[in-house]
Parts: sequence; C-alpha cells; structure tokens
Amino acid sequence: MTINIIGTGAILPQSGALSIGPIERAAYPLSPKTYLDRASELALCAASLALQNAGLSGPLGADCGLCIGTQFGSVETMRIFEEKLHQSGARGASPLLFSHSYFNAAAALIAIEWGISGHHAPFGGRDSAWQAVEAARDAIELGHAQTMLCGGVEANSTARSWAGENQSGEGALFVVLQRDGDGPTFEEFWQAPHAIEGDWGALGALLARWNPTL
Amino acid sequence: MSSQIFLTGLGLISPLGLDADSFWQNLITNQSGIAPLAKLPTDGLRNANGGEVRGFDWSQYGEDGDCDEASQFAYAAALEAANNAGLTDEQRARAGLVFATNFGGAASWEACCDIAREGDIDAETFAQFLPDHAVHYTANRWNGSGPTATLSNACSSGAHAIGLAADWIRLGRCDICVAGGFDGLGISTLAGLSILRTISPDQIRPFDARRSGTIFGEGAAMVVLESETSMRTRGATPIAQFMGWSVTNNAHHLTAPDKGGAGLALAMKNALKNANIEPAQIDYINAHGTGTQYNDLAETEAIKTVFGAHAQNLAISSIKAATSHLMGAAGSIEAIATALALRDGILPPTLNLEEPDENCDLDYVPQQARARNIEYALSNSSGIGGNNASLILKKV
Repeated sequence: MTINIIGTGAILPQSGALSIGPIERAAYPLSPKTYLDRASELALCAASLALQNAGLSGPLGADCGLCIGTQFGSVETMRIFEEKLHQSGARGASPLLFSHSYFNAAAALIAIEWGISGHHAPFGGRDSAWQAVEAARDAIELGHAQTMLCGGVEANSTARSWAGENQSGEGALFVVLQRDGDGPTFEEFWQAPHAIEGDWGALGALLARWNPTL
Repeated sequence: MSSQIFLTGLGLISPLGLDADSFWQNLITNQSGIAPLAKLPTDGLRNANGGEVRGFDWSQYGEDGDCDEASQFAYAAALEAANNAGLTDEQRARAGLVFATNFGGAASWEACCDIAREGDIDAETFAQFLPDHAVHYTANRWNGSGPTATLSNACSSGAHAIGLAADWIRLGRCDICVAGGFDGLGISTLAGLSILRTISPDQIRPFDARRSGTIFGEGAAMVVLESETSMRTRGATPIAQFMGWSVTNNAHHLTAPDKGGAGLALAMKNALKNANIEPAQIDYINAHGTGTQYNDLAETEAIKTVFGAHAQNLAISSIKAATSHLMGAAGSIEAIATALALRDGILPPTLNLEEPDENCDLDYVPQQARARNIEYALSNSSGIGGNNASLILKKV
C-alpha cells in the first residue's frame, strides 16, 4: 500500500504579508451559509481548492474522512457570543453564534459541505495542523478510510490578539491523501522543515513543510 | 504493530465521585451527582441544576493559579489513572498523552473576556483557556517525552481520545498512553447549550417518554491504555481489553440531529469491523443517551440498524442521569463505566427512566443497577457538529 497526495489547496496571504483580506466567496462553489466564522470560511475555501485539485466532488461518503488542526479555531465567534451574552443575559444568547463557536465547527462544516461521513478528527493546539496530516495518513494505514482530506486553518481576529502574538499569520492549507492514488507519495511530497517568519499558530509546522512546487 | 491493547488504569474527577472507585460505587448504587449549581449564576438558564464537581482540592496536586480549573480536573484524573496503573515516573514520562475537550479552560476564557472589557489583555490567562493547555501542563509536570495531542470533537471528544491512543499503540508510537476528556462548567457554555434548548427544564430522563433534554456537568476521565507486551513486562493487571473503535460524522447539519441515526450506526459498524467481532457478540451498550427527544430515538434506531434482532437481547444504559452530561469527558467516563461493568459483571442503571417510550423499546436497565456477566461491550458518544464515536471493550 502507498499513500499518495492527490490534491492540494491553500489560501495564504501574498508573499511577505500575514493577512489575506476579504474572501471572494463567490469564487468558491460553496452552498449558501447563514453565518461563517472567518476560520471556517478560510477552511471551507481551501478545502474546496484541494478537493477540486483532486478531482473530487461531494458527497464523498463513508470511505472519505477528515482531519483538521487549529490552535484558535472560531475564537472570534466565541468572543462575539460572549459579548452578546454579557449585554443580553442567557435568554438573549445567540444559538447560531454558539454552534459556530465550537473548535470543531470548521471540521463539521466541511464534512457537511462535501458529505464526508467517514473518519473525523479535529485537533487543537500549536502543531495541530501537521498532527492532523499525520493522523490522516495513519487513518488510511489503519483502514479507517480510503481517502482523507487533511490540513489546518488559522484566522486573525480580535480574540486571537489576546494571545499576545505579534505578526500573526492566517490561512488554510489542505491536502487530499488517498490509498494507492495517483500523485506523489506522502513521504516525497513534503519539504524538510524550514524556518518561516511570523506566528502562524497551528499552521506553523505544516507551512514549514509545505511544498508548493508539487 | 502491537496486536492487543488493554486498559490498565482509570482516573476521574466527576460530580459522582472524585476517584474511579467512589464514582463506580455511587453509580451502581443508583446515586446521582446532579444538584443545584453553586459556582455559577443560573439566571435565564433552562435549569438551575447541573453536574458540578464538589470537594475537589487542587492544593493536593498543584499551585494556585498554575492552570485553569478544567486543566486541574484533567491533570488530577490523569494522575489517578497513572497511579492506578502502577506507572513509575519513567513509564509515565514516556507515555503518550491524548487529551480532549469541548471548551478548554472555560473559566479562563471568561476571565479573558472580562479583562478585555476593561481594555486590557492577559496572554497567560488566554494560554490557560486554549484546549491544548491541559496536555502540555501534564506533560511538563511529568517531564514527558512521549507524543501528545489534543482533540476537540464536541461531546464525542473523550471517546475519540481513547480511540486515537489505541491507534498510537497499534502503530508503535508509544506502548503506554494516557487518554480521555475534560471540561469545566462556564456560564458561556451553559448559556449556549441552554439557548440551543438541549438542556431539560425538568430532569434528565434518558429513553423515557417524558424526556425533555439533558443536564450538563463538568469533570475529567482518563484511562491508561497499554500494549500487551508492556503490560506483561510490568506485571500490570488489566481492567478490560480494548478491541476497536471508530469516529464518524453525520455530514448532515451543525446542530440538527441525524434522525435515522445513520452516522452513529456507521460508527458502531466500523467499530465492530475494527474490533473484528460480530454484532451478536456484543452484550451491553453504554449509550450516549442524552435524554433529548431526538438523540435517544436516533440512537435506538441506530442500534436496531446495526444489531437487527439481536438488539432485543442487548442491555443498554445511559449513565447521564447519574453523572450529568460531562461534555468533553462524557465519552471517557462512559468508557470507564463500561470497563468496570465488564470487570464486575454489574450494569449501571438508566436513572429516571420510569415511563417507557413506545419508540424506545429496548432494554435500557431502568432505575436499578443489574448483575449480569458480559463479554463484550460498546460505548457510544455523539456531539455537536454531527460527530459520533464508538468504542468496543472486552472482559479480561
């Protein structure tokens, strides 16, 4: 068995920048959304690119899984929810904001968008995007899935700035892994880890290995 | 790859007990840890009761302010599990750690919001809120050199952590792994869950015709998973054998239920395949059993889908009316209850199940614990976002 990378997708700032600016959501074939946290928006758009690049469209079903890593997740939606709660009390809290504030919100929204009903693993923490990619490879090796969408997301926000980070970077990166697929093998895809500028949260360890030439 | 994996240690901090032994004794004597909430204001919530951890003294474990209360629960539960397994300092240091949580340090998050309203930030408090703080805190305290990970998969998080730990052992990443979930109660969390109308205005009554929602609580539950080779080399005593697992997603809606239970059925089917056993071999299911109208019906339908006629032979119980719904720790405390049910031949009860629902027509072990020797057991968890996790354990 080989595990191959059959698609990639990334939304990153222009070279040298750390922020992306507004997303032209119409450029991505996503279903209408009532509300999207920026982290979920970036994740959906990058996942869309990766799946398109792999020639896949939904529903992808039970043989396809998802691993995603984020350090800050939808923390800005948490902040907005908290502010409304502070102003209005528990009876005035927003169910919509609350459900979109979970750390697994982006993962769930991707699964819903493309009908990915198989293995499902949202990781949290500083190196979690790379952990998610490794876990996706493991999931295929252990027979949990045939195809895995995996990567990470981080979004800039007021709430993220409470971490005291300077020069925070935002973006989303995904790869599609497939058992015995067409494409570079998992091992040959990645670059040797190298230093990157800025603080990219969960994306740092993944960006440090990302190989845009393949 | 290691072929067999065992649970060799259990630890928990819960509303029903501050260690695994007292929790189990309270559970099988039909006690409940649900009571009026004292730590939080309850104005505007659908219910003023909850599963609050009471009598926990952090000074026995660490220093005041060195981590969020939720991380304190996680650390204390992990320490009990490691001690229960008889791990030495060296074995504990090289163990893998897989922790999972819904909300991380909820109290620290609310503190950050208060600080921000005053125009300031506190990066250290913010760090204590982040979901991975607990695992790094524990690794630092134990001089850890093993792999670590944090999962956040809503209310299937605790079960998911145990499954991932088993995968790590199968892959040889570590031969011992401490895994489970944790969460602390915060007013943001309860307000959100209340406005989603998942909280019962009455009691939690899993599978009862009058069920009207769940009751949330806090705590942590951790297990030590270990390869057979490591366990035999150490001379450790197994509590149960880990057989297999699966985690899936309904791919349906962020909060609305998957009415037929297809996603949970897939998780159970995949777990049976992963464990390499047949449905008819399962004797007992520790249900997710939240007490909401939709969950309990969907879970019943999912069990019937997977087990067919054998569903009528299964004993099924939800312990949430005893423990409350421990969010990130729910799946792991229920895995502990499942392991102890296998060990002792006692099935925990579904409290408050008094009026059967004609559509929830299986054997839910109502009200009283039951003596029954079982060989294989399955534990289900589900959560917001549509995720489902199933674990399968075997008597040793």
